Amino acid sequence: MGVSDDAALTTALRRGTIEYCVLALLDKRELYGVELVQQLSTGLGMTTSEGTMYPLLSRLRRNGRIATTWREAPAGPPRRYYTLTPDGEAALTHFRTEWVVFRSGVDRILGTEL
Amino acid sequence: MTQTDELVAAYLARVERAASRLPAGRREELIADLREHIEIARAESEAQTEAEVRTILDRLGDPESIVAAADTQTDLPRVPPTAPYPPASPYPPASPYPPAVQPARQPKRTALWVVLAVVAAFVLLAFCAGAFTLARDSGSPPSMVENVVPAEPAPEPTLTGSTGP
Repeated sequence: MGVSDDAALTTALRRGTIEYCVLALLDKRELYGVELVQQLSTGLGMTTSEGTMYPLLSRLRRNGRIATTWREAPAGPPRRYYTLTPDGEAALTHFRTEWVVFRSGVDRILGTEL
Repeated sequence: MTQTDELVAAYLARVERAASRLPAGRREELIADLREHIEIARAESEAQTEAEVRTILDRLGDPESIVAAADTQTDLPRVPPTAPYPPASPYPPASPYPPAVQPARQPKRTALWVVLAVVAAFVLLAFCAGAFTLARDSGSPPSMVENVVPAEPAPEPTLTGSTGP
């Protein structure tokens, strides 16, 4: 399997799930862009494509699943914090249920059950 | 403008060129987000050397792939978890669609109504049967109620009779 196939596979796997990882991180606490993007990229092994998450954040905001507020920082420029909206929270709850069903179905077929 | 500032400016210019295919609003937002990210990441790490700034830009990634990500983040018509069916209103009243389009959706809708009607009929039948069985099993209580109800108006004449004169 070539490197580009590998990258395509990873991209495909992330496509439907990464936005819920965003919602789940923001469910714990509000985060500003750099923090959020770094936590995601570290958690999902995407440390060379942090920039690709900004279009995703932009869409989630347009769809009303997350919101932003400016806050002063003790040092440096003010930070724009991302927060979860009630809509985003509902979407996350729904996805958690769907995910468990989907994951166990795939695991059964692949033979990768724990 | 320092050398590191130039590095950042050159990076953002590459993003801007790659993003020329995006709608203006989307492009401006993307560049503002990336600029903000770089500014804050630099402030936090006190990244002043060229190598440190390069690391920040490397982590952001290739401008072309960032714009490609923006391409895929179009607003797809999402089905919210709370509304499994589209609102029924647009179809029957004013039909701006050519008649050729409608039949494709119509059978589905009709089928849905038929299923709903059948379910409703079953519920009604079950209810009637239940009520009938209940009435037959406990035959005496209903008749008792029947006896009590007509009896109630009876005291009235005596009441009016006593207060009347």
